[in-house]
Amino acid sequence: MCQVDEEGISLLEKKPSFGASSRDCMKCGDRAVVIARIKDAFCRSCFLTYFVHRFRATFGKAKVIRDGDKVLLAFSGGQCSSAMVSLVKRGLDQSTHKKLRFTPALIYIDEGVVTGQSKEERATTCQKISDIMKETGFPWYIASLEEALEIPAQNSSPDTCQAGSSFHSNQDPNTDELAGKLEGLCLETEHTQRCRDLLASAKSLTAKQDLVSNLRNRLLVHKARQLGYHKVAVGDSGTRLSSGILANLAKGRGASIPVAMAFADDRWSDVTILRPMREFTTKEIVMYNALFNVDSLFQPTLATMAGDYASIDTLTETFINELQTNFPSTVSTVFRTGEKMCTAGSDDPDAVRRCSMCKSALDTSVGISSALSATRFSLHISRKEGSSTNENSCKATKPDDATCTDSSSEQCCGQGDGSCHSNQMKSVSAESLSKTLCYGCQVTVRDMDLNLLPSYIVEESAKIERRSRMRDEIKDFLLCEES
Amino acid sequence: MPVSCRLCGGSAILKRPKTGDALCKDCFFSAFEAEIHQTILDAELFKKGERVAVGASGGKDSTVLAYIMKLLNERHDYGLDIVLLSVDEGITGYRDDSLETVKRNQMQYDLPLKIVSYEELYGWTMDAIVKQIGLKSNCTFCGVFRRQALDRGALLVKADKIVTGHNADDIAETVIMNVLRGDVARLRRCTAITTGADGALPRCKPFKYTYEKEIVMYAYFKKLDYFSTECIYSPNAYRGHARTYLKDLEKIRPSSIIDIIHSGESLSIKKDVKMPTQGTCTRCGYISSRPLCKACVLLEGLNKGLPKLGIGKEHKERKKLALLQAQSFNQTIEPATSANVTTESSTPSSSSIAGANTVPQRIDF
Ligand SMILES: [Zn+2]
Ligand SMILES: [Zn+2]
Ligand SMILES: [Zn+2]
Ligand SMILES: [Zn+2]
Ligand SMILES: [Zn+2]
Repeated sequence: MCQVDEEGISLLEKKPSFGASSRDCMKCGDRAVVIARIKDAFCRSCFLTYFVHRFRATFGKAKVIRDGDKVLLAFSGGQCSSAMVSLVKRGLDQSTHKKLRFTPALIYIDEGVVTGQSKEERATTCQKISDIMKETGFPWYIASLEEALEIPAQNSSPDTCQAGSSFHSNQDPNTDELAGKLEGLCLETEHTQRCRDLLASAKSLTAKQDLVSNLRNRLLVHKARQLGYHKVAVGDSGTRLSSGILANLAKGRGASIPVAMAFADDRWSDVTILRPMREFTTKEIVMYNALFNVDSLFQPTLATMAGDYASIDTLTETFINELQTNFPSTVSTVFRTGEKMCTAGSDDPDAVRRCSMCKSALDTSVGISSALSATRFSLHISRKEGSSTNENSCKATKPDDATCTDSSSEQCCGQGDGSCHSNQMKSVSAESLSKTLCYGCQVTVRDMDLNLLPSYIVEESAKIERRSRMRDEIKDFLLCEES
Repeated sequence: MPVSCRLCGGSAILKRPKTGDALCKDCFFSAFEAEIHQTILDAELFKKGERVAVGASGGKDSTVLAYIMKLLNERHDYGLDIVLLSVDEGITGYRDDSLETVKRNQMQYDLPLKIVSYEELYGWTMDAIVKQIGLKSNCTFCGVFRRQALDRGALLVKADKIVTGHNADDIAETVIMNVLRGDVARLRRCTAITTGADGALPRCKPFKYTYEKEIVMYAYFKKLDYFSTECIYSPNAYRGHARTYLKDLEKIRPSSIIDIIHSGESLSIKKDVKMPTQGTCTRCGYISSRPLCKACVLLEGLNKGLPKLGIGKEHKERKKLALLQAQSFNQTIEPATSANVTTESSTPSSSSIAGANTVPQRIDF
């Protein structure tokens, strides 16, 4: 079909052909050393002013931080979160009205289990990271990714949440020596192996990356709760978020784009995720780090170990970066498009049902004329049996899982007269997951072994299903809609 | 080892790209047909007694569409009056073969065919336009003119509706394009199964959830005759990127195409985002957010010997037009208005969408 392109490329803002070296700073007229945004030339000190100001403005605009709030900074050692920590430090050091008025602490989540690092390698990394964190003078904490598997379902009473055994920080009264703290960090637990099995069960790298980011977010929120923080700041740059917009579209996660890129992501009710680096491109961040000697620690990730075409995330990142090189407005255009989106039918945020995995609004209550029902129909018509294809693989119930001490396990399986007290909640079917997971998470778990899913997903799904069954039973006697 | 059909146990001949299931030929046919029928029912695309124009280009999508519309109409008694509608741009050598295909289809399927020519609709053939403006921007013309040609042709044959062969791949690609160029108005509309219900003739897409590969499979095994109609003018580089991206996504996860459509369906645009108001062209009545639709601006340029008018940022041409207008008595267009026209329906003011002007626009479906 013929494409109409309005004389195509001529409308695109082509990359400026001049280098920074031949230009003057747009603020003071000194020699420029760096070009920010698309074509703003800055000298070193004006760039710093611009950068710090923009960072502060991002916080200011949103008005979600109150004076004296405690904010947990998610530090990965990478370029973006290192720059974020540096900017917070500068912001706190500034005088008078420009000062950032919150109390920060750092948290590092070790993901060595994902890339198959040995216990020793992980310990070395944690040592290096703790050296960097110690330098900041802020309180800091270290946790390992597999601890996410210990997280109880969100609806369970808060008293059941205890500090994880492997959780360590300089706030621990028993250990004032750094070495002592790191020795105590358990990098090889029963959960480590379970986490490895879970990751190994993922049939695609796309699903694996989604799972890792889900575990990481869950753990961040969980640790924040334990430590009494209600805000967690992450270092995602505008570049990363733009590529996330496109990747989310591609993964059927369109409905979560608005929360996934928001400055204040409120999907976790009591803990808000903040994204103060969202107005910077990755390139600007790298320039800042280079000009102001901000150290970062390169660590291999699933993405860096795989090729560009290995997963939807890596493909999308490569795609966006290539476009950005040729058309420097790509990232900002995609970003602003994302800012204009909202989730369809999200007029009443309190009544929103949430996905038990990613906590974004459930996007599966769609009409009959929809991609979802068309897909279901396709599966039905070419299988004659509906979409419950994973039924057999998940019949196997784990007997008496030791981690299952939640009081809700005393409840009835929901199938009998209420007297059985059986521990059915550990078994999960694709069928029941399809009722409690969003479209994108259903696609993700399609590629995984359902029996190995973290208990926070399984338990929540089971709980939601039990409640909806209870509701069905009494619905004729309910006088008004209650959520 | 022969693979057996998941449905009937016979020997399978293909693996469905959409579901990954191995099926025999007959089971694939019935699944494919049942899905299109279901889509038509679910979206309530047609009403009994309606006259429906099937846009027929001789390409695979429209060939399969014509075939299946006829088949389902009879099988399920839709009660539709189906007309094939083809556009002859007047490009020597380019349309000849595809129009032959359409004519053959007409005979095979026994459906009435109406061919509308650019000459008939606009007074210009594409060949004549190319002579005027050279090869550089003619895709702007043939795309804008073609989109309207279908509507104008459909009005000529008194159709109630236009059915097009846009498939799931096309729609997914358009979602991506609209995000890349920041076009929220089209982003909102492009996943709708029926568009243009208010004012212009409604257009609907029964292949919205159908994979391009399955359409090819269906045509291949049904031995449907089609002509490959890629536009002879090179497609835009930017859309090319989006297409490559989509193909790569599909390799990584075959369901990506439908996943993207789901994403598109579950998004809407914030209420405080300014949207262009849709009106109609003061000259031809076609739907347009400007007083003059794109086609009329292009025609104006052609007829006045300023063929670059309305294409990109040709300020000089606009100034020339303004001059001409100032001299003319019966001129009704204000230069400022016509000069701003870049797309006929939805480009918002540049202040409302940052970057909208930095990425090329395309006429949507
Ligand atoms: Zn300066
Ligand atoms: Zn989810
Ligand atoms: Zn069969
Ligand atoms: Zn063309
Ligand atoms: Zn017009």
